[in-house]
Amino acid sequence: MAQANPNIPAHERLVSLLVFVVLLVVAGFIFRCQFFPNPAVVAFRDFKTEAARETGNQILPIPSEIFPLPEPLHWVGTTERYDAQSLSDKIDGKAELYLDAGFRLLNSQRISFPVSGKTVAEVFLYEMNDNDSAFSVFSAQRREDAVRLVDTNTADAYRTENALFAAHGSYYLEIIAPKSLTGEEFGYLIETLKAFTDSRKVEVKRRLVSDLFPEEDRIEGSLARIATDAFGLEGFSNVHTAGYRIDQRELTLFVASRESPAAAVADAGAYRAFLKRFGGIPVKTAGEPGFNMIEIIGLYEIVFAHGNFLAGVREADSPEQAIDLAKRLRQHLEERHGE
Amino acid sequence: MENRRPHPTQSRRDFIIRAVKAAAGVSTAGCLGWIFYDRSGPAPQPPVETVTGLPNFSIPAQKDRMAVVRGKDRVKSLREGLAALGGPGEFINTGDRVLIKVNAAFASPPALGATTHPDLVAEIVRLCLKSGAKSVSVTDNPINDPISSLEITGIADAVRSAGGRIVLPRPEAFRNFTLPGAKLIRDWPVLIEPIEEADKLIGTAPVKDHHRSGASMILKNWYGLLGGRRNAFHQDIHTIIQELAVMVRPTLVVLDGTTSMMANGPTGGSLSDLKQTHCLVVGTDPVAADTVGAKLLGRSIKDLPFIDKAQRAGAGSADLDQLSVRTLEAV
Repeated sequence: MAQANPNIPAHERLVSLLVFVVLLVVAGFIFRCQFFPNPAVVAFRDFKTEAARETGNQILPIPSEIFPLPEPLHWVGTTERYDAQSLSDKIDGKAELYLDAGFRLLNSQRISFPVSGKTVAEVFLYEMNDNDSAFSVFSAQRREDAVRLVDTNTADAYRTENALFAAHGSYYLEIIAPKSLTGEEFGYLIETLKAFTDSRKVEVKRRLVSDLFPEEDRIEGSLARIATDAFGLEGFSNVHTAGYRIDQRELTLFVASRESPAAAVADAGAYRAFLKRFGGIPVKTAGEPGFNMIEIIGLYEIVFAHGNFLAGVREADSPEQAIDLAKRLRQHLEERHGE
Repeated sequence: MENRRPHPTQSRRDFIIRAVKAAAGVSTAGCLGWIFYDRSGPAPQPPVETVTGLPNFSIPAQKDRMAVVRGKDRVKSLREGLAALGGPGEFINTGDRVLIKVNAAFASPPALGATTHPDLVAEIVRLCLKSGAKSVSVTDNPINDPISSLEITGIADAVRSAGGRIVLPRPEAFRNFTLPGAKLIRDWPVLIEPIEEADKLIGTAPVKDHHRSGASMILKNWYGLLGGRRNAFHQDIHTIIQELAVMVRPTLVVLDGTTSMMANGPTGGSLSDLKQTHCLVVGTDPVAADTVGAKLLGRSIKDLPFIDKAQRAGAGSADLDQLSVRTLEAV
């Protein structure tokens, strides 16, 4: 039987290696190019018609109404439906906020009010992957003048001068009117919200987000979830934040749950390295094991891992303030989550 | 005598086995190639005409001029701004066919600030007609349904009442266009017909935050001339805006920062997304206009890479000291 020749000259081995390296470089280049398709190629794909939009592998007919409305409210016009491919046809560049968070479907339609002539509001019902996804887009767009709504069958809802926003299970709902609303008119938005929650029974989970953070000094309505690329760090995903007001200054606490303590430690390390890349300087925290403090642009951040959580403080005025809050956060996680 | 390893030998049997395997591999590849071979070739496509140049609507004598007007009333601010530049007659001649490119991207009521305000559109139409324009057309290729967008924004009504006409983005009004030297605008459908029928081009848009590009103002407004699945360009948003800035050379631009959308753009939704910034820019340099708009949003050029890219491409200047700028208060 023939055997391989072991006496291959060194220069032949070198040439082979070089050819292999060149092939790897070419393969890497092609792999990278996959993420930047030629728009002209994308443009000529075959898209389905407006009459039926595919969700997953199922062709769904577009309903005549998104959900039943109580009298005297009425739907106006037709239901518009958008999936991940077509979402930007409705909301343009904002589509990525939803796609990054886990978007499935948008149904939108207008409703008419029986007062003030023909006030017409538009309902946007976003179906997201899960409760966390819905809360992500809800919290990411919370307005500064938000007034929390209670007694609405949903844990998360607020109003502004002309609109209502709510997260209910895996749904995110917006009802937007074209002008400031009177109390009576706003009552119709509440009726619409209730009609929606009645039509979509969801499992109301114990709100994990508020359980992650101490209540004292927490700014009401500041709880949020960042689906991806939190604080500018690519891949830093599923991070919950809460705002705190201390001595009239606002700062942020954050908590992220990971699969294991090792994963939490790794992500905490990655975030620290990210801060250092942008000029952060490590600061010693004597007597506080596990706390890693970084000074950046005159403010102080602490990152630590605690069981399956990585957590921290952002934008504290002083090392003492950062440590105090980090200790409160760690104690809270120990008490509430047994870690 | 040298102690050398014996040269490996191959038996005839091994050679034949290897040769058969190689021949089988080559034959299989050949058969597959024969099976998939398309003898007829691709069907002949009808020749597609590609346009490679748009008219340059800028007026050389009016280069680098801008008026920044502070005021609560956008119509008054527009009149003051134009007066500061010498009046509408400096830009519109008798017999001109004027095209106004508005931002009617969304079927959104005017109060939400996502589209060009209809009062402003109506006034621009009126002033053009008063200056002797033969016709004033208003167009856009909205993201939402065109008719709904133009009606719900109030723009269609405003144009009709002012004596202008709406040009809808019919499929036949688009032609394939290639911007020489461009990376993205190559053989791409562009709303060419109304442009080719115009003598003067005015672009007008509100100041808005934009989730993808950072801001949507005059330069981003030209996106509404693109057809096809243009959302594909979002992957390289700053480059596409740069190329649009090179592609379109308007006569005049009107950037409306009377009310600016500070957050949650480009659609907004809540009145609290808006801020009364009380500023309107009238000028001949779209890059300069957007530079002023950026400040209204509290952003710098670093936050909006498309402005620097457009400047470097020669579409205008972000250095306001290089321009003749009049700043005034609307009375």
